[in-house]
Amino acid sequence: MSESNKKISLISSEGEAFEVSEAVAREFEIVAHMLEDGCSGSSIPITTVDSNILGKVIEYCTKHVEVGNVEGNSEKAEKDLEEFDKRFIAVEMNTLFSLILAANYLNVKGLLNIGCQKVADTIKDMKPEEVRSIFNIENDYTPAEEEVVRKENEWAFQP
Amino acid sequence: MVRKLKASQACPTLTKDAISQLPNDLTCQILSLLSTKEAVKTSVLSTRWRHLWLSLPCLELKSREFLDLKNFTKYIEFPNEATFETLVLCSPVLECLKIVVASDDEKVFRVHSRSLKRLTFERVSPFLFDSAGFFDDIYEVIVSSKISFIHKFLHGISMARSMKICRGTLKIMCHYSKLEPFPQFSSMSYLDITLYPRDFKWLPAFLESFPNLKYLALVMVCDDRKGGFSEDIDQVSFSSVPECLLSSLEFVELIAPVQYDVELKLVKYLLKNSAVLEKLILRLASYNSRRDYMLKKLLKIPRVSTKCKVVIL
Repeated sequence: MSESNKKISLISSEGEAFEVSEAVAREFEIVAHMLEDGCSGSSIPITTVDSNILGKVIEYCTKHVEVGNVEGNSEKAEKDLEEFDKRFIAVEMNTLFSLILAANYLNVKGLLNIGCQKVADTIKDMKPEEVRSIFNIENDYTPAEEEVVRKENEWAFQP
Repeated sequence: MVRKLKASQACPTLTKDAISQLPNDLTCQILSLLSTKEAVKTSVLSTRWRHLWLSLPCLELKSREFLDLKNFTKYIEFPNEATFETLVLCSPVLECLKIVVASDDEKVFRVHSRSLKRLTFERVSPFLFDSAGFFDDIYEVIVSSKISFIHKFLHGISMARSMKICRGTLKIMCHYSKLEPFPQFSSMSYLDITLYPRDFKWLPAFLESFPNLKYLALVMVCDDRKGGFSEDIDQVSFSSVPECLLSSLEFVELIAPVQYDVELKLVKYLLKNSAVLEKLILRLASYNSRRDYMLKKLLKIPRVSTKCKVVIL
């Protein structure tokens, strides 16, 4: 069987099987390494990622493999891909963090990068209070402690 | 691809403070996408975030973001005891630090870090825009009054492997070398120098301090204040041949176009004396007659290194 036609099943934490081409599966570096290490099984359990997130990661990788396979008009393709990434990562916070964790675990670098960038862009230009509320961060400083930290790094809080 | 299940309900939701539960390396990756200032601001979010920014390997601190220079130096060097642990230079992972000082103050910065691999220090100084003559005097003064600091600094970085120096720093170093022996940078393999044509005369002596230099990049900038190129510049002569030319220098790149005879002279000097040179990359001005003239002259220059390629861009 030629490599491009070979199918691999990725099994989510709920036991659901996602059948993908080997090229897509190889976008998961963790899977690529398993394949290179001679793991020839056609189904690979991804026990820490649930179906919802695994499906999304596969969607991301499938798109990137598709675009990577098209030759020529690279500028347009690159733009489309950028658009795709932008839309893809515009998800609510819990999904965003699940995607980041999954991308980190599966070692899908592109996805990890856009996920982290999305979080950084959200933090940027926000007051600490706003960042806390967006990310649900519990402020466990006492007012006095918080004052000390602010004082210590006073320069960073100036406009 | 088979997608049987629309599983948003099945997805175990993360506990509410998801960002704080990311492993440290991921939080750091996120913080590294922010400016240093934005990253430091996160210290106030919660106790978990207090020192997270100190795990960043690269920091850039600018004096103009601080109330005054005193606060700035204090932040970098000597915080009071209560804040000792947030001291930037105590960070065990700090690898590159950029300090940008917008001031004339001759404040000395003490940078002691075990992990630091890359230090960029920029001082934006108003007298850079003054007349050339004044400029030279200033350097003399700086060097003679700061000789022990320069000594310490140069010896402190003498194990560095690559260095990029601006024209002002080169000048300070050259003035310094007249007063005290210059340290040997025996690990230095990459050197990037920005200089005026009238600084060329210093090159041979300066390069003596880099006996194992492999790669040299020269950025020639035009010195307009002296009315272009006076005759004495064209008279520049390269008297000695430093060790690195004889035994280690393999690549030379001239970043700015070679336009004047004095630059051609430099090329000639390099080609005639660099025994192990493999590649010289240079640029020529785009206008035609001058370009042809330069090209003709260039082709006639003998090369001491038999494997030397000259690439003209």
